[in-house]
Amino acid sequence: MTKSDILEQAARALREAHTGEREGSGFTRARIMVALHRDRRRRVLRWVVLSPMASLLLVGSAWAQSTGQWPVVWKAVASVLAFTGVERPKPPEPGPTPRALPQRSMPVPQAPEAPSVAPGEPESPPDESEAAPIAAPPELTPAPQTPPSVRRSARARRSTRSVAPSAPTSAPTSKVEAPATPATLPDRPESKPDAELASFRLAHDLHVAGRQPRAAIAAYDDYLAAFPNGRFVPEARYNRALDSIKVGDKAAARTALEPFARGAYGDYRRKEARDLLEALH
Amino acid sequence: MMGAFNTTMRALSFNSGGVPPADVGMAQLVTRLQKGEAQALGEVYDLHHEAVRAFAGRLVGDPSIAEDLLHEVFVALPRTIRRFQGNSSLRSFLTGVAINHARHHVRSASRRRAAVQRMGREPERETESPEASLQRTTFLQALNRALDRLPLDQRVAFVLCDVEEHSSAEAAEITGAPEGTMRTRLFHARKKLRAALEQEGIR
Repeated sequence: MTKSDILEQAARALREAHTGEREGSGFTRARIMVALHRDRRRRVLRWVVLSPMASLLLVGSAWAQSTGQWPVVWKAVASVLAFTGVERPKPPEPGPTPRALPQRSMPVPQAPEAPSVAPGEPESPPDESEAAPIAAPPELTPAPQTPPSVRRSARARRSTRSVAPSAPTSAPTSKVEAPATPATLPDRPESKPDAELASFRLAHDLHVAGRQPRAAIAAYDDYLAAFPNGRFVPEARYNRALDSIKVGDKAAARTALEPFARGAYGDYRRKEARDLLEALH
Repeated sequence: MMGAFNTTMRALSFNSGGVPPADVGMAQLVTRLQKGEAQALGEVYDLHHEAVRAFAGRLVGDPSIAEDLLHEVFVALPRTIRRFQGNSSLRSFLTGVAINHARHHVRSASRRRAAVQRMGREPERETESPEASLQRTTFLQALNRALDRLPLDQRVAFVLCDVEEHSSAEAAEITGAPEGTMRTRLFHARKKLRAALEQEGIR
């Protein structure tokens, strides 16, 4: 057997060993057709399921973006998808308050601000003739929209203190265009924003508690003095105006509310400020 | 769908030049396959499964693994047929697809053979042999072991050119490699295989 014969023999042996005929070829055909059918069904199912989900996500994102709910939505999505990888640094605890603050799970006022200026509530209420119109301005029934940043800060103070730092740091395209508008997350890990947040939180807690408007005014003044260009300046000024109403300082309240009513802060609290000013006149 | 259109147009132009209607039928079959018709896949299987199975068996050297490879080729066909330009026959295209999917099948067949050899027993054969058949089986086993030592490209070249008796140009078309490369692969394949068979004691 020559060397070339070896290869020829090898080729012939392979050729004869595998002719392509097999008894189970029908079975293989059936397997292929089943696999094709399954693949096609999977593809259709993918379209049926994934397309609406993608559309929903798209529409939802657009809606959230346009209505300013994007941070809330993002936070919900991030919590569902467990994006909460890094624990945020804990903001410094606020200093000693005039009295023990109530432990509230939701310190941010979700209810309208107007009821807090009802004549019965203030520490030293203004006279009835002035307080009555303030107490119930007809347009104040709907809850004023809390700015996203404040809402975020409120959420940040809840027990779930785990928001990824990669979360969007700017609020959605809100109508507030003033440079001092709280448009960023209040809980960045830097030390300065934390101090700012703590200062604002102290005043805000006093304001929301509603029983110490003078202490709240003082705390807001401290905050505004320390952070004249802070992120919560509009909210602080507005809340301070409400506290001024509570203590009967209508002039200060008017002065503080006028920029809001004028639109200096965009649409932020504009309507409420107008209503309050109207009621104060 | 543009590929399907091109294939059909090419078939029609061939037809006007006197190409037999079988080519037109094939072009239509390819077009239907490209459109995703399940029935067309069945027809292609009926036409070509033996050729693809034979090639797969010769390449991997194991009938059951060849059957798996065949299954994989035809399951993937609705996707891969989009690449078919009509420049070669459908059979050549299917062979090329089989080569593309063969790598891990060749490995698994090789592993299986090595395992069988280690266990010191022969795999059961479909045809029980008289003496000549036993000799052939022994030769085939040695051949498969020798083929397992070749790189896949050279193994493909040997199977296409020497076993399936394709020309180097056809083999180059099937594999998508240049013809010169194919000749080089075949040269090295023959050389290594010869040496390997001699090592196996076949002279």
